[in-house]
Amino acid sequence: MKDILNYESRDQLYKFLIRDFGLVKVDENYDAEAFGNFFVMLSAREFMLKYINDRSYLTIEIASHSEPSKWYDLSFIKKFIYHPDDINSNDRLIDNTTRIEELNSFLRTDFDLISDLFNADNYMNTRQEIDKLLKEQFNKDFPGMSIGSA
Amino acid sequence: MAGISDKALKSQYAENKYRFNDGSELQNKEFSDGSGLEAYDADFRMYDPQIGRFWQMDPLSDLFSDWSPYVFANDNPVSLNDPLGLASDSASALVPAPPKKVPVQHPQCLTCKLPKPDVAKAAGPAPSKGDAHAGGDDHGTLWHLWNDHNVVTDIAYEVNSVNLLAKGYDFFSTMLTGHDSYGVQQTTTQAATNLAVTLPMGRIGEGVLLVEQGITVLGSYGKYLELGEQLGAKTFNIPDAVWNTLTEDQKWAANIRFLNRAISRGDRIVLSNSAFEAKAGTYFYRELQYLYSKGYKVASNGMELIK
Repeated sequence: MKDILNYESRDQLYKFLIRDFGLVKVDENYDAEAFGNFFVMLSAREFMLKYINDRSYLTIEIASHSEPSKWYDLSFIKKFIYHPDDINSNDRLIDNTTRIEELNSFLRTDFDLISDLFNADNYMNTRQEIDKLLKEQFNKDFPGMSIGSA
Repeated sequence: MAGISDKALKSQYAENKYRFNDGSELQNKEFSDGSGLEAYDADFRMYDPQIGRFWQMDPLSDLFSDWSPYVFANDNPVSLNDPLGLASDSASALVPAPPKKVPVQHPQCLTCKLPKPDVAKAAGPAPSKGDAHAGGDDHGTLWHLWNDHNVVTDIAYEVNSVNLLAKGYDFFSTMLTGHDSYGVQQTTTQAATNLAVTLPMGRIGEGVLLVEQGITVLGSYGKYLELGEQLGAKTFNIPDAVWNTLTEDQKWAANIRFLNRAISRGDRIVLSNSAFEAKAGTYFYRELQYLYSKGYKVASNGMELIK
């Protein structure tokens, strides 16, 4: 996965999802006027994924078809399943390649579980739980910053 | 340049190394060979105030082919600024358009009840006098002078709208026709007052004639640039060709400078994504951390920062 931020080689990031899980690429964009940001959006049966480069920080976001405008960083979902007490750990020191490889690995191993969390029946519960944990973590990381939290 | 320096009259003053170009540091001790060289350290280049030129070429010179790659602030240092050494404020994407005016609505004011013209019309001719007060129920100039839509904001808006290069027509239309860009009546007296009152408040070298509280939008890619455009707000933005030449420290330094400007203007800071959902480690999250350290709080809906 050489030069992972290179937009030209973006297909390497997610080709296994198309090949092995039947996802379909539905949208993509590259913005040379804004940091070289880009995203590639893929659609699965129960959720959508977005490989996104935001100011040289590459990650994967996920949204349910039930609420296509609300995207969560996929690492939140991984932590929600495995380490809910540390849902928003700082991985700035992890390089883009490692981060994407870890998230891709999570997608490979837990695809069905992720599908269950984001299907139409379970999504609202999932969202409620994740939002609650994120807000708790925020108040821990930024004590007193959230108005009404103190 | 000892003859015109701030030491010429009172040598006991501590030297101010940040007199010019929005925080660029004066470098003059390095040149101890008696050459008299002085330069301001903009992030990307060194600016020599004695010749009014940068020492190095503009990394963005391809974008401004009408100008010398060594020019400072489009040869207009009174009105413009270039703290990064990339592009003068008028042209730089780092400092987008002035904020849009949000007129205050007065229930008793007929003017306020009239539909406002499309903002796009701001670039075109102003409506003829009387259009905005059709119906003849004008409460008069005096009422407007004392009760008008936030006078300070109006003044700031009017003068910020006077981008002398691009929007001069609009201002002079206001002077001549008595209407501003929104078709709201502005008397000739007011327009003249706006200019007279505001010019002394302008900060020389800031790139705008008046430092007005505006809107800055922060967030993640996919949302904040769009929202910033919708609101006419300032957003942090650097072209790929420049961004990819910077080190991590330089990238963050540019980001910090953008935030410091928003802070110094007292901008309203709107978030395109909920603060609670900012991924730790992203630029958005780091921006929140920085503003937190400056005493900002996040509104209960997570979508705005409040000082």
